[in-house]
Amino acid sequence: MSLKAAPLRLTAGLGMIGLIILACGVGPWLLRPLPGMDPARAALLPPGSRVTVVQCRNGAVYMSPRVEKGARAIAVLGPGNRRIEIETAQIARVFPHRYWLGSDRFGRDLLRESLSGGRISLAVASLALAIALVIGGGIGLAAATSGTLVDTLLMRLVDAFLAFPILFLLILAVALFRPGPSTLVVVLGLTSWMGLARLVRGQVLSLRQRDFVQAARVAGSPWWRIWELHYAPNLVGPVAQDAALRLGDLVLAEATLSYLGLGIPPSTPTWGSLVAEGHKVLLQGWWLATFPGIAIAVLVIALALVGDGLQDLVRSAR
Amino acid sequence: MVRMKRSTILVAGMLLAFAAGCGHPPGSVEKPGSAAAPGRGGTVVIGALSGINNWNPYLNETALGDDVLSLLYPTLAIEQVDYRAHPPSFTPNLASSWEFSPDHLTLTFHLRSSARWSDGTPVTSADVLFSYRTRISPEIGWESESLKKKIRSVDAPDAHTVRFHYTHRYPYQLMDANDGPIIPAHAWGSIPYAAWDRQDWRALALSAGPFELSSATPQQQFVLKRNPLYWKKGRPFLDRLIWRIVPDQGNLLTQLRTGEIDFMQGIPPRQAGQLRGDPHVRLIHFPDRSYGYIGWNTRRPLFRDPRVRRALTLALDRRTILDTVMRGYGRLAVGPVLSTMWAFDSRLVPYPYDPARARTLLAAAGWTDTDGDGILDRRGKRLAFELMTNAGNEIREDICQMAASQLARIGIKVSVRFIEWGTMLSRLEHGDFDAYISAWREGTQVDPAPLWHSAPPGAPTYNYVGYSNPEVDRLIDQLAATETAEAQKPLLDRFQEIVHRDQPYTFLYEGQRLDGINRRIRGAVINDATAYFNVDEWTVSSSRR
Amino acid sequence: MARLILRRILLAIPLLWLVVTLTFVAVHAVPGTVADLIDNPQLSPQARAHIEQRFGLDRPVSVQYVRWLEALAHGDLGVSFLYRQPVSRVVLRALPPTLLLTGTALALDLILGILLAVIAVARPRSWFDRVSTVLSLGLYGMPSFWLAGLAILVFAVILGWLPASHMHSVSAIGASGGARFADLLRHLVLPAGVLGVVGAAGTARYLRSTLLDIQDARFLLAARARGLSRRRVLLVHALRPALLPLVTLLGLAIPFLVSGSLVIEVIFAWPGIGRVLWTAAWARDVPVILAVTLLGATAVIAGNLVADVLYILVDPRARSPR
Repeated sequence: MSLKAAPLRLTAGLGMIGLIILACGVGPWLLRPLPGMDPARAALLPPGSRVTVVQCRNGAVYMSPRVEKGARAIAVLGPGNRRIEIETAQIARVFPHRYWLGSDRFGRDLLRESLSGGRISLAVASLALAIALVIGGGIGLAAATSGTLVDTLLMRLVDAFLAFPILFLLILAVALFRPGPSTLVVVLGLTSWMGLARLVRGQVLSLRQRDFVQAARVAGSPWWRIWELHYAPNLVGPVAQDAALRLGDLVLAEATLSYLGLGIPPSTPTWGSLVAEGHKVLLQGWWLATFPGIAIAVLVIALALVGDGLQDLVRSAR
Repeated sequence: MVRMKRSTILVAGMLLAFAAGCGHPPGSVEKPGSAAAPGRGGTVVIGALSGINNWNPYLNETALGDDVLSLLYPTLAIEQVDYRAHPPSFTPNLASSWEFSPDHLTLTFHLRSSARWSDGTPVTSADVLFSYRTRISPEIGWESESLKKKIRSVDAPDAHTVRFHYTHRYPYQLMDANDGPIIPAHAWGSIPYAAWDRQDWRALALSAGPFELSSATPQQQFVLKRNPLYWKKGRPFLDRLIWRIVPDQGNLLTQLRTGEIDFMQGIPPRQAGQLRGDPHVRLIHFPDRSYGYIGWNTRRPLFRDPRVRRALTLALDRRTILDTVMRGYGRLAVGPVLSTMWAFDSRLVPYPYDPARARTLLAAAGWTDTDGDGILDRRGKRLAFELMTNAGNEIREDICQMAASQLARIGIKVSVRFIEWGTMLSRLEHGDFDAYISAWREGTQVDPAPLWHSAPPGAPTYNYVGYSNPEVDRLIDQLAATETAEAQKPLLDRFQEIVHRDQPYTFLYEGQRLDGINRRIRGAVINDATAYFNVDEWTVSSSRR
Repeated sequence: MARLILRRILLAIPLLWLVVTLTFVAVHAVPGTVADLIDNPQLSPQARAHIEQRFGLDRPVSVQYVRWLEALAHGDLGVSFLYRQPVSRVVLRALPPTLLLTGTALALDLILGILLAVIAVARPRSWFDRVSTVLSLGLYGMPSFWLAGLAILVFAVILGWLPASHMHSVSAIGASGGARFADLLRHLVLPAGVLGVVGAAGTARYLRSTLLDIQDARFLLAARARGLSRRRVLLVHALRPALLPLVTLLGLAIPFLVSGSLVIEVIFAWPGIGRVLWTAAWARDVPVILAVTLLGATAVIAGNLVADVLYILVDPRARSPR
């Protein structure tokens, strides 16, 4: 039963991920960026709101729900609903803007923020995964192919890292060092490679006992040939499956840390920090926490589907 | 988190109330006894973001702790809020009276004979001597220890008299002697200071104030109950005060509105609008003796020229910042002395917002846009710097963003950086920054030395910006040798004038504290010193909702 | 068996040493000490020196390290800079609330997870299977802090059924034992519920796929061929082998018991270990940071050991070479 569903789940998951990447990658380019914003100029507008943006030559920006155009001046509603008149000669640009998903407290467009935030969330998780793959894969292979002594030492190292209370370590590291994307990538990468190391080592050791590998060795195939033909193809499946699920965990970890204020500062929005901002104003602006939260859930679910699909494929290949 | 924290002088010594009719409509002051007959009994629940770390007032490090512990371990006298006209005066508390010797070098306190600890032992001069020993003990490392360095010695001729002997005469002798809670010698005196860090002070708690400790659960809540042995007969009116620890600001406000808590301090200006028109909660606001500023690192070539610093101030629209970020709760700051203080030089006015003049000043200092990229430059170097503030403080983060976009309009490139508080302080102490946004909370003792006296390189100082002006240094040294406040005033005026001209800081705003209190509480006087200034006179009009 | 346990315990000591040493180095690599955090202009350099002296911060880091290890060898975790109390007292007061929260959540997690998985597998492709699969997938993807916010909004703010924070309500002060307990249970529902439900989603997903794997196994097909009912095969023959990995999971849950609930503790104002660490990290309270890390690492190692021992008990095959 699970076999038939496998390609379906895999395709669905991959399709969802593709859409998310496409939207996050292209979306921010397509949506017009709003000019440099002063907080509270257009704070917390509900989804669907329309405003008129008035950009002045001296750099000031006003976003006003209503604009009165006169002969020589334009009147807008400024901070605190004060009426402000701007001379036409002072104005650089006037254009309408629609907040499809509403705005945050800086008057930023939540749709655009969510898409560019997703870019950062995805990038952080993927780079951290890359670090984990390199370290985990490297140590796993080294342990499996070296002598007993090196193997034991490396596996004790894995144990030590596993014995670190990971969540504590994450919080500590980010609380103590400067928060930001690069810190987050390094910390997340350095704390999530142990499972991969164990997986790779286990796979290699078990493959070595298998008939086809033994046969190839006896036949005198060069080591790189055996790797290419037998080890690599049989490693890819389980590692990819593990990686997909791990990537989902990393997305959640990034979101959680940003939520706690330990990840990326709110000046650079990510899904996690957007949800955190949204929680503060849950009653006044439900949309702020809702949409990025759904985005996280959809991505993690897509990754889980891919992981499941891959697992089924691996299973059927056996 | 704003950590303009206690400074004992500031908070413990800052027991000033809000005198009615001194210019600010606090909206808080409801005359005690204005209710027909004060009802007895009842419970008030107070919400707070964090709890009390230690129940010994000399080991506790939190501002809330200072406020609450002062209800158990009172001071000899109570500082009043009349600092607008002159240095604050005092009213009797554990001491019923005091007087200075003719040469003004000895201050004698007479203790109230009716004051008792909650175990029945009278409060005596031994307690005062013990408290003083504790304050100056290096093993305790009390934060305000240095305040006592002008006190030569303390002695007690009898059980109800204590004398403080000073090295010289100065305006704050009474304030310094009074600063610090009185703790029970008979109960705690036998515990060596070295063992203080291992005591369970919660179990050893006593009280000579209106309330005594009833129970405490760390990170959850603590309860104070009426102290029947309180010397002021018939007080307090309330039976119990409960503090609930709610670590989230939003939750705290929700609980205030639902009536789960009756009182909270420090409502963010952004949220204050929610309370407008609330039938159950009254919003109180008053100046909180703090000011926010941008500090320019005057050691950096970029900020060495006072003209550049003045231009930066002129280019910042501080009124709009105040109106948007603080929602108008506050006033523009002028200089290093708060405008609510007697020592303030009222001739000074805030610099106007004038980007055109800022450009002119910058051009005079050599900064023009020669390459037409929109950013000013001088000898091939662009006018660009990093402006930092502590991550998580929304007000400062917003100001940072606004300042950056305002400065961009006159061609200054500002990169904004939010960093963790401890890391930021460490960078400030090492002078490793361009500019930063922070705030100071001022005490009622006007002393410019820690912030404005130049410091030799490498010495620990709070003059983070490296400000150094020989005349200011001389004025500060003269101040220390001046005996009375009247004689200090001209020196202080001159000092403010120079700092205003030099603009080592851009003074942004003088803040306000916003508190919310349930209308069922009557008679509360809430002020910038402590929320519990007259808590022994609070009453509740009805039972809990 | 006893030898195995003994060996592992001996092995744990250098492991713990490594963990705390790394933490010690990390904490001291960070700028700022507890004395730097006192941002008080009234604090004179002498007073500041006294504070540093009192906490031993004036000594070189190596000396601080040796002193800390020495004290630890005598079972002394030192004095918290922040609370000015013995660290052991600070940590031990926070442990019971955390254990109560995570223990309840774990029980909920396992009961709900196993139920969901077993019923789903017993009737594959039924509506229940589909609903539970989608549900557990959805819950699995939701960030727990988001779910927590949602739960507070719905159950505490809108419906007003349950308290949004704390372990006790104000009215429970001085109430009788029974009333206090009922009050505690009411406060436990939301935080433990959120933790448990998120956990159950993972458990159900994991167990379902393992059960499906085993169902295809030959011995089960044989059992089916012998004419045993599907349900009987599932419950008697399949669940037992499927529980093996679950036992491992249970052992690995021990560290979760100690450290797994930080976010939830912060959101629900639950007075546990997570919040102690949280505060300590911001305040540079080094002794508390080290103690909590040590506690966490001990829990991880103990959890691994328990998992292995349980595994051996359940599956005798694992007893042979290892």
